[in-house]
Amino acid sequence: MNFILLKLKSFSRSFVLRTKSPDFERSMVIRMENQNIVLTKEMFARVGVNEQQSEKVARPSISYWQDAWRRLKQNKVAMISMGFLIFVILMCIFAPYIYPHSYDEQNLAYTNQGSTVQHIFGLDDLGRDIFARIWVGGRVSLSIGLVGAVISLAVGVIYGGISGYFGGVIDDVMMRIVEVLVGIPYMVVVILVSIVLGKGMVSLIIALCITSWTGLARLVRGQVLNLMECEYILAAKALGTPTFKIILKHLLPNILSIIIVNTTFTIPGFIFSEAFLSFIGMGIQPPNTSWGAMAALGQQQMSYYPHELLFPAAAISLTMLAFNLLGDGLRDAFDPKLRQ
Amino acid sequence: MSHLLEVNNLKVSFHTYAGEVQAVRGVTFYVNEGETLAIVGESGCGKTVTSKAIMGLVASPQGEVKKDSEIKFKGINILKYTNKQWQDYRGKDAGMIFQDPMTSLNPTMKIGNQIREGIIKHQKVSKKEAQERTIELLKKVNIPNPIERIQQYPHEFSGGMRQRVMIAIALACNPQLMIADEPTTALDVTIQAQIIKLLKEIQRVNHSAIIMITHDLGVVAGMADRVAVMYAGKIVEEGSAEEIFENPQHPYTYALLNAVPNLELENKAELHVIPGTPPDLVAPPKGCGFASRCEYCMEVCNRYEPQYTQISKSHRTMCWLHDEIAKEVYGFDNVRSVIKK
Amino acid sequence: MNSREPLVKVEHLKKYFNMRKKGVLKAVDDVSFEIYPGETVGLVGESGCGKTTCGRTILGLYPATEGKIEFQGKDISQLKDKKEIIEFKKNVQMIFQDPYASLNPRMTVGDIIAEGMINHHVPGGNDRIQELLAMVGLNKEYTNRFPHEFSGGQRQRIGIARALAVDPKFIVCDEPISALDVSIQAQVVNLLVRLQEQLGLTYLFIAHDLSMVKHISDHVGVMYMGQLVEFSSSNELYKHPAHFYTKALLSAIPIPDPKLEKTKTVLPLEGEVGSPINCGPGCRFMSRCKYATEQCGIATPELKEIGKGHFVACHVLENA
Repeated sequence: MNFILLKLKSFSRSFVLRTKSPDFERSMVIRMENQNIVLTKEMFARVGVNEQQSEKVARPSISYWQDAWRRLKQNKVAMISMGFLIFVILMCIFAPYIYPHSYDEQNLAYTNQGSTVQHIFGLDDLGRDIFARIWVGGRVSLSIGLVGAVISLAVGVIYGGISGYFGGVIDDVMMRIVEVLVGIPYMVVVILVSIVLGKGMVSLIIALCITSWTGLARLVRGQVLNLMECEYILAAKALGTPTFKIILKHLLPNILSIIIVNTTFTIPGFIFSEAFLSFIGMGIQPPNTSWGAMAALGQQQMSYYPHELLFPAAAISLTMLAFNLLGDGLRDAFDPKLRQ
Repeated sequence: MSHLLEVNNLKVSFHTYAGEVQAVRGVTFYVNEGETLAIVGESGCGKTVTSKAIMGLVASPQGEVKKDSEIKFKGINILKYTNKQWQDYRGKDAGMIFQDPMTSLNPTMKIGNQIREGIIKHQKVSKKEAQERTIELLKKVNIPNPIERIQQYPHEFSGGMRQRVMIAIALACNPQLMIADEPTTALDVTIQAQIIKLLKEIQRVNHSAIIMITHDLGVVAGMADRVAVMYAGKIVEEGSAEEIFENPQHPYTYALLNAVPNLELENKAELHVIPGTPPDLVAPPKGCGFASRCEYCMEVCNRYEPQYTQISKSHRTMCWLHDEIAKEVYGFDNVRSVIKK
Repeated sequence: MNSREPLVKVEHLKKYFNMRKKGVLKAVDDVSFEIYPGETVGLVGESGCGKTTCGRTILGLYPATEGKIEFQGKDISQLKDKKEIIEFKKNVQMIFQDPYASLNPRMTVGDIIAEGMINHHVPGGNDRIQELLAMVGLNKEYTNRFPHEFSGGQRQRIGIARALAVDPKFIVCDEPISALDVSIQAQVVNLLVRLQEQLGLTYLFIAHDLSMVKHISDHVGVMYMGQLVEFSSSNELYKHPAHFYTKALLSAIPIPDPKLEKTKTVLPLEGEVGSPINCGPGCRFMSRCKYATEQCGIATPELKEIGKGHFVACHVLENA
């Protein structure tokens, strides 16, 4: 017992019984953790159950998305990546308008010149400003990444969702089709499409999209199958909720986080595929440019003028790295197991 | 007298978006060799966190065991252990049986290998000896055909069988302390009875101490030597099983005892309930944790936290009803006469 | 027994699941019983005995393999008219076992309760949601909160409010208390009993805990591996259990009294439930029954009336 009781004044018992009036004549002093507490009889009045208090929810209300955003904000690496990506996107949109040199302007007197104040990243072998070209090329690379990801997301989610929700024979047939598509190497598709439509951005996007949605479709199908076992889906069915509403209100919000994470990881894949195809000459054709095409040109001058390879290569790898790190951060932020 | 395990002023907090959740707020108890201590309480009262702290399983950085906490195993403060010492301690000195037998076994490993793992790690024996010991253990927990069973995977076992396997794993190195975290909650009544019988038998043979964690006082009645009732991160009453079951001195203990429906009771009659929900320990109440749900709550309960009152040598409780003034105001000698209507 | 028409009539209900390679899982195998308006029928049994499947099939969430389910005198498998199906779905509701999995984590409490009201055009809007929350003892201001902010017992009450929102006549309570603490179980049971009196509800109460089932039910059916082995009024079942399985279940209920608990004799029920896949003829309890005779292995026992409204399926008792 680490408390001391001090009876200040004794008191006759008859007076004590069920008095409601304030009664300070008898009190006790308890020493408790360095503080003196004066106990009076008044304090011992019966209060009973406090219903308001006993059902109180103490925590502040927070939705899943708010919580995920809060956790993402704590992740410095992911936030830096996100800042970097926003910077790159803004530069791709606005830099060509502000920067004094155009991407196809040639300055043949200073070909292969290194970095100067006037040309921040230097010039290439045809005397074109690399800084200007990075952002124009970035437009192509990023839009292929984003458009490709959005298209494969739409197709993958709808396809996987239908397959998972209806199940049975529909599921079997749809998944066999996916398996066939997965078996076709994407190089073959790219070559076929570029034969039909000619080389360029559109055919590149089409070719990449044809093969890339399958992964997401499988993922979504698995998730939907999982969720269909959940009791709240059953509850919605028992409440007579129509199918499209079940998909819209119960299934989609619960797989959205996985879709977002997966998409963040797909974008760098697209950027790399574009860069790779342009590098080997299957993608973007001059005078248009992209990071991959620039890297291909720079590679020819690599031994003497490394800056021509360095800047486009850095653009590709840093952007891909940023997307991957952001995706990691998102995955952690959305993970219900990390939720506290 | 020294105890096998002594927990002194254990405080554990979790850091969350809403602030610091004080899951365990100063818990002190002990366990002697060969005895069974039951820690009883509702979900969220901190009983599982307490057991995790004893096993060194409070995950940082969210979880934090406060500095002045002490957990002494055979007189040594295990909170100061290094990772290596923890690994030796887990399994060899203390074993744990988890609540959900469905998720606490590795689905891709054969049952035999999962049991053998612990034996090989802690006891320097050959593979063959370990194998023999595994079969022996499975026999001990009453699993038929152990020789065939060790070649099987967890999904080929039913819920009750898996819990037996879990017990076998916990038993592998004959630990002196076993912690059973709601070992029967996920099981059917008939299987529940079997598992409790098994635990009792093992204790008789091995003479190990058991800390049994549960929310159902009925489960521990036939098994526990001593009972500690936890509420809102504190022990509100502690005593021998007889004292707790026959002479509960805290309104919460009494309410818990009464929550089990009596089969003699008339159908659909109003059951005795504890109204409301336990407090969220993000903002623990200033006074007694149980105050807002307590029928006998007084002004003082909301303001100040009660101190422990020693009822007998082994029996203590924290409730303002035991205060001299309360006894005088309401005119009773024994709190028992008030809380049993 | 009762001259009124039963609200729900289950006749020879069978629900088999085709497990492809493994064979056929007979989850519910020839079960018949009736539920009268305002009554509660309890179904008890160990996990895997088919009680949940039985409840879900009655609600039309699974199509029945064989047999008939009548609701208010109409066979629910024959409901063709869309209007009738919607009406049926409005009248029957369900309360689920796991309060953590039965509420959509991305929806607010208000949206969860409103879902059924929107589907069935129940008027009242926000006022009714608040009224329902108050009815289950929750603060009216919590409509904009998310399920994860509540405790298990509170979530279960939100689930009850959701079921009540569409003004149902019949509710299947699928183990509504088994995931909750003992102290909270009583809260939910009291609430269910009170709501039954206030709203004239009819329940099918499914649980594995015989003590709670006995408390809330008028009649109790004991299921074992897809079949009813005993059916009677709940008091009769508790006072004069006939089937060996029922006796074992009763004796396994833990009593919070160390003296009684240490001295009481638990009827030994060794082993565990067998596999309901491809089970052959004969009494399914045979492998765990020490009174089993030769006859038990040959034919499946049928429910026979041994007392007023007390049915048992057991060869041994029949011959005794």
